[in-house]
Amino acid sequence: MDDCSAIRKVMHPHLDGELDAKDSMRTQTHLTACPSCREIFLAEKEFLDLLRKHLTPSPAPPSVRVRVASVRSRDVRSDHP
Amino acid sequence: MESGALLTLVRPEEARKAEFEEITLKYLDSLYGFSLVLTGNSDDAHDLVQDAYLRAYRFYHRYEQITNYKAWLFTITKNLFINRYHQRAREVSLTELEVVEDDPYESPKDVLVAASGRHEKGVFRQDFQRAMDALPEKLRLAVLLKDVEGFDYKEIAEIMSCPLGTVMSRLSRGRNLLKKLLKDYWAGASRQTRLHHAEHAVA
Ligand SMILES: [Zn+2]
Repeated sequence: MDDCSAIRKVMHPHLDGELDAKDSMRTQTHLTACPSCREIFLAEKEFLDLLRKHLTPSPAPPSVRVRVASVRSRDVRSDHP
Repeated sequence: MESGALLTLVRPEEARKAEFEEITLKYLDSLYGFSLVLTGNSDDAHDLVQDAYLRAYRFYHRYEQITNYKAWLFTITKNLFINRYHQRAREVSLTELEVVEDDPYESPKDVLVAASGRHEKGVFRQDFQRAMDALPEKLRLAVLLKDVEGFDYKEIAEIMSCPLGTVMSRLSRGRNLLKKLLKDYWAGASRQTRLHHAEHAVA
């Protein structure tokens, strides 16, 4: 069985779905067997869920849309070398 | 009075324009948020977004070969930033503390306990934004690209032109620092709320 410090280092990659199948399986096995890692893992997951729920992109100011609209109305091919 | 011949001449170009507008406008908020973090001010962020759209529009005919349109737009923006604001980008990296590997680990349980007293969604959102703004630039970019924009590690490494390991370490440090900042805000806020209630109880 992996030691706890190794598992804690891969908790975020595991939550982000970035571990390969083998490492993911090993992490899952450890989490099932180790209550203290599992507790931290679930809290990390809850924190990330909270973060992602509240940290959504803010609407760009209307002035940005105006600037972007000016791009579309310009003949961009004429100034392309 | 549209003839069939005219339609085939006009339509592809118009359809292409409409398609460009649709997919690019979809990412306008995200791209502006990214530009704001890169440039650090609203005026330069406006310029950067405009330049990025102009470039994207010019190269749009390569779209067939672009499998990930959103990541492509972000990469264009970041490359433009590096070219246009190179001097400033260097200054930023000089003041950046890249090697701080021993930030103490923040328990997610502590921040969740501190959060449990705070329910108002508007306030919550403000707190997260304030904590994000307080992060060092590179850590903020990593968190923005992952947790706000949903890119995977490989895409972030490509957008930021850095190794995968750097993405992982910045993301982990950024999230860790967010926990600490939010815990401090919320712990402080609930102390103030208690004080406020206590004053009201007395009055
Ligand atoms: Zn363990």
